[in-house]
This record gives sequence, structure tokens and C-alpha cells, in this order.
Amino acid sequence: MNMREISIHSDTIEKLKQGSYEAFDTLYNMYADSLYGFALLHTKSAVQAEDIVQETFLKLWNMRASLSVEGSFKSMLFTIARNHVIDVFRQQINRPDFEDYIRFCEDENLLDNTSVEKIYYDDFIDKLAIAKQKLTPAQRNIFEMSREEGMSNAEIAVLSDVSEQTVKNHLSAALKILREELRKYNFLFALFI
Amino acid sequence: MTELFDRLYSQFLRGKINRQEFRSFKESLNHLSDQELSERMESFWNEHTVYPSLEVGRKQEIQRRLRSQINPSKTSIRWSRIVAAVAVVAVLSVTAWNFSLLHELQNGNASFLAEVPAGDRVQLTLPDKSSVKLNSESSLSYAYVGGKRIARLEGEGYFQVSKDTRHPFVVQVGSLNIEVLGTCFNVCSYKENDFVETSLIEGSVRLYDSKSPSESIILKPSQKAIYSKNNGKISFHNTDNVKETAWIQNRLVFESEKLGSVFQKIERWYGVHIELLCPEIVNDPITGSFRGEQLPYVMEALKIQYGFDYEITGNKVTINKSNQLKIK
Repeated sequence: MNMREISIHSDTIEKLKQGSYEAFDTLYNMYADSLYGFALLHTKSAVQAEDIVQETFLKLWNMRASLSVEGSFKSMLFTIARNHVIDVFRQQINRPDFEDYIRFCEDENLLDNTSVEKIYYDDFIDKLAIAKQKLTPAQRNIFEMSREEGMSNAEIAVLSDVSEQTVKNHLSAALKILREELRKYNFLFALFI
Repeated sequence: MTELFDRLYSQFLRGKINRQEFRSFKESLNHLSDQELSERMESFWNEHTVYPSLEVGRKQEIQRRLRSQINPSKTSIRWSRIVAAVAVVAVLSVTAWNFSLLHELQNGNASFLAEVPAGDRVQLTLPDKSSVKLNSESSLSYAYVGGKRIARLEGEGYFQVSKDTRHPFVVQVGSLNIEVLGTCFNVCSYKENDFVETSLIEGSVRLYDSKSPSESIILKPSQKAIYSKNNGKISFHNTDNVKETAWIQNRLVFESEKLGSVFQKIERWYGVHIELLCPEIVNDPITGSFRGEQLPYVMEALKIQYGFDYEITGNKVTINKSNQLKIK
């Protein structure tokens, strides 16, 4: 960080401490994009990333009196955002259907459309909801228990009163259909860009 | 373990991770303490500067929500009208822009003013559902006055006016009135020009000077009217509208245009200031077009053709004679 940047920041933070909306806007305009991008790379969700931006800047405003004029604003912003990003990041990674999303991205990378716009988790879930209409009621039921509620095959077998092997068969048939459906959207998606 | 995590973490962020790697990543993440994770995140945050960007409309929407959260009482009245206008604009914006909206009270009627800074272009929808694209460094105010829809323009705008025969739509540029009967047309009225050019794409428009409203002229499609700011006279020309409407498709078009005027257009288009240290080239003619190109690309293309040297520093472009020419 160069000298000029430091002095702009300390002025702005001084004003923010005194409750200036203008200073708040300045900092928002300068840093909202980086914070959003950082959150998006971690959560792979635009909805979650926007939420993190809003919450972080709200916290910044609420704690403005205790901010230090010295030091890097970028580091301060990270400290404010950190816990929220960590929570959502961990939560996203451990979603039962997140692995399906990763697999979907993997298939897409294999198509080697280097210029195709990245598909994020939210878009994937939207597309999946449409693709699920192609499943039979039994396949759909088992798929949802497995992926949305995170139940194990054994648990699903007990609940649905079928053998574990039947659960496995339904699941793999469901996944095969969904993958084919999603691939169609992929192709369409690539064509429209 | 941590080395593995670092590698997979970076792959995950770049979106280049396969299923098996993701499973190990999830496993090692779930064993990593928040403290350790935070350290890795922070070094990524500090080293990384380029991220996927936040869409401008979304950025403003979050800012609007923040404003109402941090200052609920003061902002409520002042923002309500502006927000309605910003919301329509956000949906339709075609390009990156900084949009400033102010509202003013004009003859007791609320109106809005849209200002486009240098280097940007904006599309907006007016309260009557008419659509307007505004070119760089242009402004438009809109109000409903005496049963007429009045839009005051400075700079350049492309209008698609929604049909409402009972409420005429009038574009005012200085004392020139362009009265619209439901149509599509372009108006170019930049300050440095001593004329206002109105090109009609569809429908019909009626032009008249406020000083002599009875002397009006009706324009037909593929005609353009050039109004002289000096004497208020209007002349007709035929046009295929290619050059006049190129800007709305993000194209810069020059037809046997003098380099001096080309530089003026580049200044406005990219929001830069050009310092010309070799004024002898201003009268050289140029024909060509650029579509959605970055400034360095355009300068490089002109450099090849005219053999000058240029330097871009921030918002300033300095153009000088090429060293090679000097040696000759």
C-alpha cells in the first residue's frame, strides 16, 4: 500500500468514525467488489456472497466508533467479515448436494469450454430442480432424502421399507438421468454465450 | 495434511477440483480449526486482488438496503422516489456505469435527472415505459408538465417512446423541441457542436423552435434534421442511420472524419483526456470502426495507421510524433 492510499484511508475512516454516510459510501464503493468476489469464491453462491457483503458493511457501521485510524483498512474489513465467511464456507462444503455440484463442474471442465462462464451453486440448484422433474416419484423421493436431507442409504432403506440395494439402484438411476439432463442445459448454456 | 489442504484450497477457489480431491478437501477442512482456516483465508485475501465482480445493479441494491438500515429515518422520504427510478434502471443497464440520480422539484412536479459520467453509457426506462439510452457525458431530466411528457436532454440519447397520443412526448434541447408521436430516434446535441442532429429510425417526429412554435417541420424515417444553435434554422438530409446509431451497439464509427474530431470522440467514449503534442495531424482523415474495444487496442490501431507514439497514464493519453519519424 502506498502513502497516498494510506492518507485517503485515514481521512475516510476518521470521517466514518464521526458518522459520515459519505465516508461509508466511499469505502463501500471501493471494497464491496473484492469482498463479494472473495466470498463468492468460497461459498460458490451469489446469494450468500451478497449477504456477507451486506452484513459485513452493516457491522462496519455499527462498530465505527471503535475503528482504528492506523493500519490497513483491507485487513480490518477481513477481520469483520471473517467469522461469517468461515461459517457459510463450512456450511456450503458440507451440504449433501455440494458434491453433486462439484461433479457437475467437473463434467463441465471436461468439456473444456475454457471461456464458458462459471456456474455457481445457486444456478446448479435451479437447474437441478428442473431436471428432477424427469425422475419417477420413487427415484425423486430417494434422491431428496439422500442429497437434501443427507440421509445414509441404510437410513433411507429403513424409512422406505426396501432393501439397501434397492436404494442404491434407485439412486444411481436417478443420478444418471439428472446428469444427462444437466448436460443438456450445459450444452444450451454454452451455445447462448 | 496442511500442505495438502493448501493445494486443494487453491484448487477449490479456482473451481478446478474433481470429486476425489473435493472429498479430501472436505475431510481436511473439517479437521482444520477456525484459527488455522482464518490464517489461510487472510493470506489469500492479502495476496489476491482480482475477483469475480459484483454486478453494478446488485451492488447498488445492497448499498440501498444498507442505507435504509443505517439511517432509516432520514433517508425514507428522500430515497423513495429515487429508488423507484434506480430499480428500473438497474434491471436494464447494458454496460458498466456510475449513475447518479437526483430529484428536483420543478413547477411543483417531481421529476428525475439521470447523469452519465464520461466513459459510460446507460439504458433507462422512464416512468411512462419509454426507453432511453444515454451516451457518455449526457444528462436527461424527465417531468410530466401540462399534460406533456417533457424530457430535457444534454449530450446524446436514443429514444424509443411508448405510444400515448393523449400525452405528447417532447424532447427539449435548448430551445429546440422535438415532439414525438410514438417512435424511435437519436438526438445528438453535445455542447462543442453548434448544431443538434435528430435522426429518425421509425415513426415520425415534429421539430420546432420554442421562439417560433408555429413553424414546425415533420421528419420521416431515414431522414435527419440538423438544427443550427446559432440561427435556429433546420436543414434536412437523408441517412441510413448506420453512423448515427452505432453507439447504441457499442460501436465507434468514423467516416472520412478528421483525426481531431476522432480524438474528441475517443475522449468522451473512454472518459479520458487526450493531449496532442503534434497538432499537425488533426486534419488527416480517417475511416473505420471499433466494436467494444478497450482503449489501448484503439490507440494501437491508430498508431499503426498514423505512425504516432502514445502513452496512457491513468485518464490521460499523450500523443506525440513517433521517434522513427523524427529521425527521418
